[in-house]
Amino acid sequence: MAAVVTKYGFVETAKLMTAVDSPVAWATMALGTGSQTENTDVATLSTEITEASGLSRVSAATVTTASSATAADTAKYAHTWTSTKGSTVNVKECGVLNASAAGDMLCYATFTNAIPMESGDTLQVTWSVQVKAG
Amino acid sequence: MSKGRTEAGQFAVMEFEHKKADGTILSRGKRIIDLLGRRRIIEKGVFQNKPYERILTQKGEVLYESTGNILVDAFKKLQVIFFERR
Repeated sequence: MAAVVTKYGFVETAKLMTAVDSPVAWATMALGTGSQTENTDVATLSTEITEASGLSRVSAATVTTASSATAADTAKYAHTWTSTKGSTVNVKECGVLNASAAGDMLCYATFTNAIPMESGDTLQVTWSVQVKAG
Repeated sequence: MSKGRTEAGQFAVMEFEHKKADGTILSRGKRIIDLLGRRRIIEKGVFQNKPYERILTQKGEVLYESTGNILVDAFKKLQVIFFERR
């Protein structure tokens, strides 16, 4: 019932800062129908939606920087999914990843109230992650 | 509704909005990871046309919740005060 930036996100960030081990930036977003306890060890969605439903993993429509405290100090990922499935899909989790399959998950969240996606429904998810001193 | 940025004291924000094909908003909300050790989550949103606000720990424990006409569980509110002062 929370949201986390995973330890894998921090590791990949360090690799991107040093260009070590062929790091890959984040540009894909995924939804799932499962849920799990959220902590920084979460590596994958519990039950990622992979079937043809309009709700599977995508290249995020928006991958950019935004300005929070300083210009361009925030990574922003956003996408709007449209369900094409004939039956209801209860979306319970979402994440930002850096591959079209598998990959490293930057951040993860569950939805406190499952989102019942019916055909034609849209779900917009926007993540903002600021780089700053903790 | 999406601002696409964090605000003072925040580390990361996830915002969502669920709509019908005709544009009717069914639910929306956001979760905030703040800078207090990244352990306190603030969730604000609308569910079934009623606004709500929750404060949760990273483990998902609800410390405070208000819904509709601001129904506050006094015990949970005390927990929030204790939590804030730790």
